[in-house]
Amino acid sequence: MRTIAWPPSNVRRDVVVLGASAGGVEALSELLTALPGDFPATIALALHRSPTLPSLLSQVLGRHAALAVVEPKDGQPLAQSVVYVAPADRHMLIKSGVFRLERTAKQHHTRPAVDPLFESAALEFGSRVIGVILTGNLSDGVAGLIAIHRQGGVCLAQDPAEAAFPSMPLNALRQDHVNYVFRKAELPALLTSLVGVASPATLSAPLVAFKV
Amino acid sequence: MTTAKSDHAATLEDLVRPQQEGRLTTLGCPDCSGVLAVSELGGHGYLRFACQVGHVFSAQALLESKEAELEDSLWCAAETSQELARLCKVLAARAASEQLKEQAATLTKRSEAAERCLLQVRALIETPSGQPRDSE
Repeated sequence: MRTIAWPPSNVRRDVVVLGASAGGVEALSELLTALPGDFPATIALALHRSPTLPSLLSQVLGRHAALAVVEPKDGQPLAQSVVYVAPADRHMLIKSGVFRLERTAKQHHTRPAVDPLFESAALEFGSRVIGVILTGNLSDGVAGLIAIHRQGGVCLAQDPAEAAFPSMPLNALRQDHVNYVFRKAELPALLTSLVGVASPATLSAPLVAFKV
Repeated sequence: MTTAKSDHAATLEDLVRPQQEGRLTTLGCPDCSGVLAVSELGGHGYLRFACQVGHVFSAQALLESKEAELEDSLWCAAETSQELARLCKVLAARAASEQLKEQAATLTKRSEAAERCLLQVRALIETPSGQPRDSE
């Protein structure tokens, strides 16, 4: 048996997953508007939404964005510099390099939910993942951040003091797995600094010894 | 032991072994009535409740669902009380018109009891729980 340090120091953080509920459209629009069209990561987001209303969510979010904003098809592979929006009435997961849209049981009374996206991304990409919790109610996303943290990823939560609905980021913070608390205006720069570079030595996730 | 799994191989263990991770609770799933299992994630006290088909709840979401379930049950009790009171009243009036005084009196008492029940149930519903919404 030997042990290796995890995460490896040369890992590139290139998968950003975002979760939001009430108040999320505005917060996400602002973020996507501020990111450049060649942002060097895949972005996937789950926003609590109506299961039945025909929604222009991806068009709304993409209106002022330089990045392409789309709802993926089941089985669609991930591409860089694209924003994938979880469609209505489906959980959006990442498995074996492609998106899976599943009509499995609701979590926290909602589908899509944040936790399935975050947990599947953590399992698939480990320390490459940056998980972001924005405004919203209740605790969807907390289990997802715990999984991302456990796999060596980075966890970010919006400052509850400025969130339209603070309890989702607040509940994330109470679990002590959040590496950075950000104000909305700081998020584009924070993501840009985290994405596409080797994982910083100052990463506060603990080093985990794996048996190999 | 993992070969040729058939129905004949199912044992009582299959009834007591949860399909979801965690320990089985005595609580029912708000979305499907299946039994909930609970696990603590992350080492900082976050509880995740999951039923046997995959509905998932935080403690706060479960709490709010159970409060809503309780209110629904109380409205059922209110509705039943109201139906009972009306039914007794009509039957009492019919008994009275047929000069069945003793029967009419009994039915009136039963109607009044149902009306008291309705008032008490309504009072229970209208008493605010006093808990602020949306905090954990």
